[in-house]
Amino acid sequence: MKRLTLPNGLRVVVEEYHSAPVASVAVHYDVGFRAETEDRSGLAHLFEHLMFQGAQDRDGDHFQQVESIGGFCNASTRQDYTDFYTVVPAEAVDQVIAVEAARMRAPKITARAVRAQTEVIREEILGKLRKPYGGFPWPRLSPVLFRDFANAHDGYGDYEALLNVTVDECADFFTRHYGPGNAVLTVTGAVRTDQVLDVVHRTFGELPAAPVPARATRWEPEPAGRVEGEHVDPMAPLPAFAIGHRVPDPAAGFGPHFAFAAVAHALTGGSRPRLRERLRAETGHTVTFSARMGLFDLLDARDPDMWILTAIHPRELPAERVLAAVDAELESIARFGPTLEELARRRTSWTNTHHRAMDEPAQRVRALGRFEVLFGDAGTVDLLPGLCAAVTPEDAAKAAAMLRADSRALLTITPGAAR
Amino acid sequence: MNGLVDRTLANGLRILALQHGLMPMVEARLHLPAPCHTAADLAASMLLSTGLTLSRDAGDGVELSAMGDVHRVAVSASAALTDLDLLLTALADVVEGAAGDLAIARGQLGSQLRVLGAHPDLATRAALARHLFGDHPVSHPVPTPDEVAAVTNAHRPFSARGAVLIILAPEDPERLAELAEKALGGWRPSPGAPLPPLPEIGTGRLAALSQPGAPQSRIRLRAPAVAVHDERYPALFVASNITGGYLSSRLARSLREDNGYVYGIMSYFDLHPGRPLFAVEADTSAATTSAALEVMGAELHRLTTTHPPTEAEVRAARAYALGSAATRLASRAALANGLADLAGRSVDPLLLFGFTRRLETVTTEEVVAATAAHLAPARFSGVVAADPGALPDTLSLVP
Repeated sequence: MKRLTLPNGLRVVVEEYHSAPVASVAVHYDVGFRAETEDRSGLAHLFEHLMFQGAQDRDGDHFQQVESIGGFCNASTRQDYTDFYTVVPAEAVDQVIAVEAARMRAPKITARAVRAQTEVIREEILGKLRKPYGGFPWPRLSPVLFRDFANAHDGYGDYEALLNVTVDECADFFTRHYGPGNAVLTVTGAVRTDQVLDVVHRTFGELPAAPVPARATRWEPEPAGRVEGEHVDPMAPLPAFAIGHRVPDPAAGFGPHFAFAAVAHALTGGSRPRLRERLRAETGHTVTFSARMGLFDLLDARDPDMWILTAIHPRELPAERVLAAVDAELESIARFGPTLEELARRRTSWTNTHHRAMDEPAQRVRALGRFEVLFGDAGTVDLLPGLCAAVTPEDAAKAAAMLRADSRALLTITPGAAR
Repeated sequence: MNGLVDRTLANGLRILALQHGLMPMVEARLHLPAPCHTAADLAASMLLSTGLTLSRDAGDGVELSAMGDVHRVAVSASAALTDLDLLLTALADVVEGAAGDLAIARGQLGSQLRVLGAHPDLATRAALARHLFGDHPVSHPVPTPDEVAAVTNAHRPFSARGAVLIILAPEDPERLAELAEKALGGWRPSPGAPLPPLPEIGTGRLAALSQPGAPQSRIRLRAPAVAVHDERYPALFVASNITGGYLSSRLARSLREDNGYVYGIMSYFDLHPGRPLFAVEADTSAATTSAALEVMGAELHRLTTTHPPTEAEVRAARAYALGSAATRLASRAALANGLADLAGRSVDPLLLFGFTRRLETVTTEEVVAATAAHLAPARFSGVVAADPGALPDTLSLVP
């Protein structure tokens, strides 16, 4: 893997991975929905859509340019980054790099596109939220755990607020956040590093440097006591809840995040998860649990991120009864740790899953770029299995002890339909 | 093809073993014919699948899941290459059809089905199947929680006849096939009666599914298509891309980029066994439903009459199709899924490998002809699930 920084500040990561005749290109911009202001909830997401209008000096939009050379592309907006990624047949990698550089130089943003994409986003939000358990746990849990707008608000966006977005605002957002110094370019696949760098210098290397925005801290105090929220979901057939907990800053070390992930797995993963087994033994009911470290994914955001557990449970079993089981198991792990066998199983399943994910071109390029943009080193991706394996029962016990009932967000979902 | 072993055992099992990639893991897919003639059959098959999934822990080295539908049980398994023997033992165990602890499986599946049943997509899917296929077993795509609760015995040994094992690893395929044969050669065939053939779907039949208060409508269209082995298939495949198969397509341009009516629109081949269909689907808010249907009808009309696919469109759509054969099947898991998907639709999986060669020779004339012959608005039947107030007075795609 080769990592370097161009004179204009663009960080570049190139990795040769000769498994299939394809190449992947990702551009991660160091701006996510936490950068939005209160009157423009969803602007980062809208801007992500607008980048697909393509570049001012090119015919056709971004989809047409990428698809006509045999590739596919997509993008996502997360807390602290927005990533654009493309997978193409290997021989087309030069063209994709040029296309990405062109839209980083001058995207084609028109009033018509702003209107159309605002409508597209409205349809996207309808599809994501107006279904059983839509928006559960994200984005509904965030405003329960967090007070600060940056952390608490809904990153999908607020359609009403987006209706007033102007082209000038978009241009301003672009100038502030989409310069080469605020971005990471990652290229991986069946490529030659020297050839890729050659093209990168001739394309991205020609872009002028731009001021890089100062990184804002998003830290806020942890909740004192249990903070609660409720959502009535008219389509949900069963009651549910989610709990969210603050976790230490990942920049201080990735180890604790793997320890929190190990706790999540002991509680809800594998074929005999502790929580399901306990509740079945004690009540005869089956509860569907899921838990993870990270609002979207493990190590996918800077501080503050959250540890999440969700449960969909029968009406006969009150949420407080299920929560009591969660706290009993957390206490057990905090006192005795998970067993060595539990940790070994977790290591095996996580490592296999990780290797399979990294064999998928889009996931691989996105992981490399994300670790570079968030934590300053794409090479960390190769160290993750080792970090997973290094988790000790004591590490997991310490993590479990931090998931305290008196500092937690609780979101309950109440089925609204009469059944 | 290099690195491929294609072997059919005496018991009927077909083994496709491929040498693939670098990462030291093995991917396996097992297609198990399991025709479900009744709702009770389907409930038992899905319960068995859930039981098979729950009885394994990925922490033991083999990640395994099984999914049942009206036609089959599809098993997916992966493991580190060093655990190849474990993986094959697990598959040999699966084909015995022993469900393990039914109580856990019943609780889990029951809860999944309640959630799934509350999703308007499921009602739409079932209504579409009923509309197209009448009382054929496929019209009952998912059992009810009560049907699952009524299952007392989910034990069901699978038939080796018609089963297909797809196994990929960075490993000599002869050795893979031999080990697989050793693990599964003793499996006895016990064929179940096949489902009756699916009827023709008819054309031009659009029906409304009333979903009062639905904020978003679901448009689900189907037209008769041609089978994968048919010589017209590659041209119709390119035509599908031009119609709605990618973001550069006519329908995506018009409905999404120009009008903002939809987030996603797609056209694809919905390959029911023996009954290949062409699908167009989109979701749009109640307020834009009539307009979206009108635009869809108008675009399909233009495409098949006044404004047929152009040379440039065919070139781009073909390039995309050829590129996708590399990009969408690049990972070992994706390639395994692609092969298994064809097996599950009673299509020879090896057609996947010859497909790029067939695509390369497709001409614009063939695409224009395929478009005109298959994609006229009058050929589509389907369902629009919507709030009754969101629908036009007459439900029709024909402008």
